[in-house]
Amino acid sequence: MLHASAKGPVINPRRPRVRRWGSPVAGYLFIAPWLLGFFILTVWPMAMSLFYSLNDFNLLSSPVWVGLDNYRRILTQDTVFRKSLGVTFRFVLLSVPVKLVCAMIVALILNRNIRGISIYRTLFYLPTLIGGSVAVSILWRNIWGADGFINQLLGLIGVKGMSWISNPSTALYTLIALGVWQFGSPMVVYLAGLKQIPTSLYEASSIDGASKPRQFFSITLPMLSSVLLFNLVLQTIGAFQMFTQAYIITNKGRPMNSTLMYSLYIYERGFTRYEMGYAAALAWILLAMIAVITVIIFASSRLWVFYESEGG
Amino acid sequence: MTKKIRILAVCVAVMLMLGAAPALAADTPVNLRIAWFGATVRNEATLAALDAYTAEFPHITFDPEFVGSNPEFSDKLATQAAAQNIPDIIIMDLAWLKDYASRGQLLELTDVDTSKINAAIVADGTYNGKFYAMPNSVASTAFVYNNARVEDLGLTTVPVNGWSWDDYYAFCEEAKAAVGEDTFVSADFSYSYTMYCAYQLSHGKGSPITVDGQINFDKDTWVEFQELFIDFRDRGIVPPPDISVTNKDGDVTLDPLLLGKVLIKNAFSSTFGSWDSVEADTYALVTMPRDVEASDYVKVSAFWSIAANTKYPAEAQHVVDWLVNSVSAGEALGFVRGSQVNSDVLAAITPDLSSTDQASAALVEFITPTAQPFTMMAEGWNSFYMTDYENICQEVMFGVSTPEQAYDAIINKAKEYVK
Repeated sequence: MLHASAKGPVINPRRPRVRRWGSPVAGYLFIAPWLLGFFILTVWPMAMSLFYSLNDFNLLSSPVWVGLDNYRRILTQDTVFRKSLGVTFRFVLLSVPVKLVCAMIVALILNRNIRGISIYRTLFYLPTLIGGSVAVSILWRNIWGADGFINQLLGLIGVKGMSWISNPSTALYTLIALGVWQFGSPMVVYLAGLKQIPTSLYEASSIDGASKPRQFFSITLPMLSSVLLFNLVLQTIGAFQMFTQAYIITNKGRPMNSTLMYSLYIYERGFTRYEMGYAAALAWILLAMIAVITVIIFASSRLWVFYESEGG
Repeated sequence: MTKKIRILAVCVAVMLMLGAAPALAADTPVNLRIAWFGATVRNEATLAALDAYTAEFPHITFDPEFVGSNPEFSDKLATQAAAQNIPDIIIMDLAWLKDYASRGQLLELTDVDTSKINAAIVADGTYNGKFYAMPNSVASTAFVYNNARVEDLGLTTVPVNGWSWDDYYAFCEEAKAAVGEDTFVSADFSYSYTMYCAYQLSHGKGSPITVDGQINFDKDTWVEFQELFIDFRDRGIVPPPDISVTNKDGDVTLDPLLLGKVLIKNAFSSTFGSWDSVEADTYALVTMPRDVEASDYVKVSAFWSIAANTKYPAEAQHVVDWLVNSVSAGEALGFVRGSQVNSDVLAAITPDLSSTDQASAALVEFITPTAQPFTMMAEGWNSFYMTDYENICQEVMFGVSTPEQAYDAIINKAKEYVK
């Protein structure tokens, strides 16, 4: 028990009272390691990248100032840029929705108290951990190759397959399939969201005679919409940056550049042709595109995301 | 005070003497990174050579870095170069030598002995009058074919050194009739710059890209070449395009020759071991078909170069010199990268060559008198040869473009490379 005197707490008049959180210095010191990392590893490289994008730069010679010429060439002359942009948008528009739907279906199935559920969750999450690896990419190449597993299955029913990874009309879909297979990460986020939905809502709606589909569309989906927004933003950004699978499985965007992802094209320009200034400009265009699309997604969220604080 | 000044002076003098001494004493332990590409036989031979070197010079050890194929190595090296992290010693290819040398990424080799190497071959390792790449071996362009299968089929037209394009067509047609529906005869060469280059050279029309980087594609010849393979594709002589474009030499899952899908494909004599090591006494080498001139050329198949920023230029040059000029190295390496260029080493190891190496050596010997002069690939065109040309030709293969449209696309793309 504290016994304050009638006159209140005694203050030593000789020592000025230390305002523990008054000075920002201590706070900055605590976050200094992160700040240092942020400025050295993120801000500085980004600033240099922006600078190089305005230069003709091959990494070894001094950069030569060309102003906006790299951007002008990309936007007006570069047919491969347009091709890679088309491929990347197709990949994003097809893989992200399918992946999010798959993740939600599996999350709904796993959101129940059945025996060994944690093992199932781990198994479904596993592809996310290993799916981006070189080893899985090589495995995928063999699955979808001319003599791969898929064609052997098709052979059992008398269908003669093709090399799915090297046909320009199907190669991109093999990459999309691999992207969708790695649904574990959004699935875990959905699961966390599903746990937050009060069971009383389902109980009340059951009493009112709501069917399961009605419950899903009127309770589950609205209550999960903020989680869906989170997953949509993260998966869209991730899909725009896809690299390893296209590099390994379809041999650097082949055939006919049908799987030439934007990141792969940046790599090609920067590390094969040593046009680092041009590659930096490509990277800044990608950043701008991702930023615009993210802003659009957030702006549209007012129409379809339900926050409990809004009532309703 | 005077005593202190004397001590200080002695210290400074000692430091200066240390500074003036060679960077590394002879027995200072040195570890060198060394990188190359190739099939397992090549890796094992190179590791054996490095072990032999370390046994002879124990203070120098190695961190070997190797990958399976030239394109993978080329990508990795480009990325390492971008980070200024090229291994101390690297295998160098003619296709990239000019690019790396012109960017100042290679050390000028001043302490290696080239006296036992043909001067023309040594000249291939120079750029702007400076010597950047020590030739290790020479090889010729070639076809490799499944000799065992061809003999089993009992064909009347078989691959023989010096055969013509007409002989090749006749072989393809006869073999196709013999192998039936499900097997193809020849690899599809229509998207390979190297193969079209050989075709145009054999028709006496020079290299499609000249040594100084000028465009010299002959439209009629190029369209004729593409139409030939469109016809072969339709008749099942070459595989469908989705199978052809996955080809990877020496890979047991992706090489159509090893998979038994085709009987013949293009190669270099130096890579014969990639097939022979998988199935001995099955494959054979033969010259590429010729027309009014030969298609083949003999070129340096591998150089050794040193990173410009190596900390150990003297030691690295000593290793490179030993790899090329030492009989011990020659015995360990054999012909895994082609015929050895040092005449003394070649003479010393020839009696003990394996049958694979003998086949490779015999082909180079046959080709040399009529070989096309090898004009080094033009500086800055590597992406055109390796990527752009293939992509545009694949549009013809998949029926997206006509040969004429693809020709125009190639010329437009090539113009981007002309300096």
